[in-house]
Amino acid sequence: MRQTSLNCDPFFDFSFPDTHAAAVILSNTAIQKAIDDGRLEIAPEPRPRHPTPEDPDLCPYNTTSVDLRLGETISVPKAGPYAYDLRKGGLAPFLSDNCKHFEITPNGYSLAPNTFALGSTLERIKLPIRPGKQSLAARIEGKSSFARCGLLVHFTAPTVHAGWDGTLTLEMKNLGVCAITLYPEMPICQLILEEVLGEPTSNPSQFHGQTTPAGTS
Amino acid sequence: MKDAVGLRCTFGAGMFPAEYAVETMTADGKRISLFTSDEFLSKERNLLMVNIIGRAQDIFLVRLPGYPLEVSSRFVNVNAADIVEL
Repeated sequence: MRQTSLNCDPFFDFSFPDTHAAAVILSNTAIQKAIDDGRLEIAPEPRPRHPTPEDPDLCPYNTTSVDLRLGETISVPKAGPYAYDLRKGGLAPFLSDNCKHFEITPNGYSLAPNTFALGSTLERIKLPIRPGKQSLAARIEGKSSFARCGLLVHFTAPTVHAGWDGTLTLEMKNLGVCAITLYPEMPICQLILEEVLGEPTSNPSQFHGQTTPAGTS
Repeated sequence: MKDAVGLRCTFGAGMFPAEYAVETMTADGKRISLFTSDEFLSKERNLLMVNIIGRAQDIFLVRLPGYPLEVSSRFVNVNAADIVEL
């Protein structure tokens, strides 16, 4: 197979299969083209695509990202005399039974210092895997304005894998010294899109033809 | 969900209004749970929609509609007795 090399440094030889020179971060125009081509779905679609003189702050696109907005509900785990044990079953219902839901009103929700809460994006993200087509993966990152106030919007699980379909859960924590007011539909994080090198095989076809379930043969 | 079958489960409210907390059992008796939306649930029949990937005697390898919290893969073995045609 023909290889493409990026010989930036004589001590390194980065070789990739020739199908794609390298995985890259998508620019704002490439994100919009990916939406148009069906390689990426964001619903509702972020608008406008370009800043307008009437409201230049409204455009959700940065040069290499698109902003996503906060959904209307947050979930705050309750403290209690228990431990989360991932080796035991039933963690999802346990977490659900031991949290409080808050509807974020138009007046906002005040996230107190040192408080952990789960939020979700208003937008639903879909990164389809299509045979023979290049897929996209993504990462969510915080916004610098919130960072200066001490708000984390994720701290351990930023990756949106190729094949994902759904809203994104935000792991929020106020690390700052005063409360941060959250409003529904406020731009809360940014999505960075990356091209995936090679074709992901997470679809069921990778197992076709096998005679025993994985791990039990 | 294309070519889905039902996997017996229990479910309740999730951490967000639009999701459910679902619990089911693997073939080796491990309780696993995940969060999913109602499009992957048959709530009247207590079934989670899954895709069958492979079969060996009375065990099915299935793909869950989301990642369980207790194991690192969404592909799990389940008993054939827990699989129901939708």
